Parts: sequence; structure tokens; C-alpha cells
Amino acid sequence: MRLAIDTSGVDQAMVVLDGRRVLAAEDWVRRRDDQPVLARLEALVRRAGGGPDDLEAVAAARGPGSFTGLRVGLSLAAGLAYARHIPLHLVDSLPILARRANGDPATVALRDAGRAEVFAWREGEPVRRMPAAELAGWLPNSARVIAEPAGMLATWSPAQAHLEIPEAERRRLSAALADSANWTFDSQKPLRYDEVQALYVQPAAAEERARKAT
Amino acid sequence: MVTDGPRLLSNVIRSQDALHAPYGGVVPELAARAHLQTLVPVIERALEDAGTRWEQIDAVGVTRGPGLIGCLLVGVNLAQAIAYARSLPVIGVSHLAAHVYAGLLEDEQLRPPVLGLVVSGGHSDLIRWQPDGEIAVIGRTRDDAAGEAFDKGARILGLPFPGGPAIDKLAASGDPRAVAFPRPRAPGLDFSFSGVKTALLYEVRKRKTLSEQERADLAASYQEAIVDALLQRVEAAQAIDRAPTIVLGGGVARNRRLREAAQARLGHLARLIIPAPELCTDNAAMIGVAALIEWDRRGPDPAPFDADPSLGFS
Ligand SMILES: [Zn+2]
Repeated sequence: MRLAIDTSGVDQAMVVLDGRRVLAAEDWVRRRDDQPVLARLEALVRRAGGGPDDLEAVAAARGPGSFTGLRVGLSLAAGLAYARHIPLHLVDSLPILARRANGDPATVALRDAGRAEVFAWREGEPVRRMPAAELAGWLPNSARVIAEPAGMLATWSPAQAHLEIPEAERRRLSAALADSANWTFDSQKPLRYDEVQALYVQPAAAEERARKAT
Repeated sequence: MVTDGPRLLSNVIRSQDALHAPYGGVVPELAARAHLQTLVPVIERALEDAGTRWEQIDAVGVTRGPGLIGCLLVGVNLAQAIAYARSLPVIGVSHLAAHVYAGLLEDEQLRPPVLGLVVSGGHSDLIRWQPDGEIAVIGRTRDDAAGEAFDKGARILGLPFPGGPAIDKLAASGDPRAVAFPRPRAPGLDFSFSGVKTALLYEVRKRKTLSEQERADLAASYQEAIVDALLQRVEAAQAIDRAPTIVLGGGVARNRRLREAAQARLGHLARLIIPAPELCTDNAAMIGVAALIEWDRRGPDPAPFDADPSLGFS
């Protein structure tokens, strides 16, 4: 039984897999007064018909995304994997988001980064953070864009709003997460338990200030 | 790692001081980032040092708060994930209460009622650990925590972070009566350290240049003012309601002058317990002891819980 968690965004999900088969999945929207993610995890594994002893591998979305969500998801994943000595994988969040498109994955995934900035990913390139105003020049004309929150491309770059895949044509996050996790489990090397690091597209502000000062 | 008694089996401390030193204080963002990578190796070391395997562990204790949210999130979730993965009970405890409970590692007979002083970079609290197990705060700081007062004083004197140890060291060669700093006064049993900090700033400005001796004298006098203010409040609380035992805890309780003056001024008022310096500074042993105490009092936490950055003593 393999477990995958994505708590990096506003939409969050968890899946329990048996090979490629989804045994149990849950999707929810992040809220301030939410129950602890571990409570969902325990219930989900139970629903899948197992317990902690049955876990064989864990994968977690590593961002970019929310500070709180990433810390929760990555610590849970690291703790589970370490305590059971099973393989641990981290998966970039925006390629997971891209797989929420029905049919082929989107070629561009965007996630709100706050302060009029976006996390932006396109196939074959690392994630970057950029002012939303620069999207217009960066988006390929033929792009199939998926955005979180849905519909935001109209705000970030109105002229290109038609490139965004409508919300009605996207799958649940858990389905995309299951695909990404399966690919990762089958083709990627697991991490050491002390290599767990959220994907920080920008260095810490303090480090940045110190670097500029010298 | 602790066992019944309580007896300390291992205590691994991974200090982030070096990480934060260039910034002159703790940078929350950096602290939280480092936690994700250091926690598993620290736990691994604690198991190794105690010669223990997972199979021998009976329960997991973890700090639920108070503290920096980014750090607490990592600890609380990692610990509970481990507990779940190993089918172990888990107990979330207060970091502040644990500073008081650390006294149990010095004296296993320690039982409430206890009068406690918890002094650190984030807290200056005077508490009563009551016979019913509850901890009541009877005095707190109105502005800076004692440790903050040391850090800010150190910066004014051109000393490195963390300021407490730097001032402690320099003060050893200074005269604590060289400068009569105002004694911080706040109503009731509360503390206030902003006045003495401002007074230090004026003294430094007044002098324009500082000889090494003057710097040492200022450090000693400044330290004396803080220590005096802290102990005066403990004496006052003891005069109101005499407790058989007094416990000092928190990072500032490592301060040599505070330890020495506490012996002299409080030693005859009650049984005085000041844990060894490594048990005063933030450490996991005290969290283990707190977990044992809370286990006896209320049992393990029945369901997963979240971090609580503003948690008090319980
Ligand atoms: Zn502390």
C-alpha cells in the first residue's frame, strides 16, 4: 500500500494506492479551522482497508505552495517513511497541478504566489516565481494553461485568458496526484530522510537581504 | 529519551545559534527551514545514544507550543506521524511547563506546590505549579523577555548573538556596582526590562568610546540589574505564599550570576532547584519528562492535534 499527499495548495488531496489501483482518495479545500491532516490520513488508510504497518512507500508534494501546508505534508511524509523505514519521494506541485487537466496534462501550470506574483511552470523547465504582469511575455501562444485558483489567468493576463483550461475540464486533485505518485514511485530514486526540503522558489528573505548587504 | 524515574537515556541538542548568529537574532523563516532536515537525524541520534530500537519505545512526547509556528508544525506533525507509524501513543506538551518539569531531572522527588521562574529569550514568567497539577502564571514581562534584554544589551555593547552567554562571560571581569542601573519596576509581580536597556544605551552613548574594562563593568552592572529584578520578584512571590520548592528554568537560568545569586538569596527560603545548564536551555529531555508527567495526569492525546504557537503552560 503506497500513500501520496499534496497539501501544498488551496486544493489538497491524499491517495492510498495498491500498485496503480486507487484504494482510497480524499480531496478537500484548505481552511483555517480544518481538522489536523493526520486525522484525515489515519481515516483514509483505514478506509483503504489497512493500517500503518501496510505502508510500503510515501510521496508528498514539495511545493511551491503554502508555508503551512508544505510543512505539514512534508513532516508527515518524512515521519511516516522514517519510522517505517520505507521509501520517501517528493514530487513538484505544479506538474501535479498540470495533470489535473482532463486528457493530456496542461503544458503550463500557474499557482498564485500572493503579492501579484505567480509560481509558474512549463514543461521541461524548473518552476519560477514571477510578477503576474510578466506572464504575458512568458506564456507560449500554444500553451494549455491550468491555474490555481481556477480562472485566475483572466486576472493575471486578460488577453490570454482563453489559454486557461476551464474548471469544468479538470479532474480532482487526488486523481492527478495518483498519476504523479505512480510515475514517481516507479521511476524515481527515493530520498534520504534528512533530504526533505520544501521547494523554495525564492531564498529566505533574510538570506536575500544579507546577500545584498555584502 | 527518558524512562521512568525519570531517568535520562539520551538528550540530543542541535543548536541553530550558528545559523542565526549572522542576523543577530533568531530568523523564524530560517529556523523552520532547517527543522525539516535536522529533525530526523536528531531523533536517529537520540535512539542511538540511548541504545534503543523503535520496538522499545512506549510513547512519543512532543512540544505542542508555544513557539515559532513554522518550527512547531514540523515537530508536531513529524512526531505524530512517527507515533502513528509505530502505533504508539503521543502526548503534546507545553514547552514552558517543560522548563519547570525539567527540575525533576535534578530531583526526582520534585512535586507541586512549586514556585517557578521561567526565563528565556521569549519568556519571563513567574508561576505556581499547584498541587492539582495546573500551572498558574502569577507574573510576566510587560515588554522584553529577560533573554531579549540580554540580547539587546549585548548588541548595544557590541557583543555577538546570543547575548546572554556573551554578557555572562564579559561580566566576569567587570564590577557589578560600577554603574547603578535603575531596577526594573512593573506592578505586582510583573517584570519590565525596557527601562534598564534604555539606561544602558545612554551610558554607552555618554562615554563615546569604551575601554575593555568599561565594557566589562557595564556588562556586569547590566547583568546585575536584570538578575536582581528577577530574584526580587521571586522573593516577593515567596513572601506572599511560601512554596516548599523553587525551580528556575529556561535558557537564561544558565546565567552564572543568576545561579549564584539565586543560591544566596533564595536558598534559605525553600529547596532551590536549578537544573544543569544543558537542561535549562531548550532541550528534548525536559519534553520527555513533561510527557511522563502529563501522561500520569491526563493520559495520551486521544486524537491528532495541531501545533499551538500561543499555548501557555498547559
Ligand atoms: Zn525554552
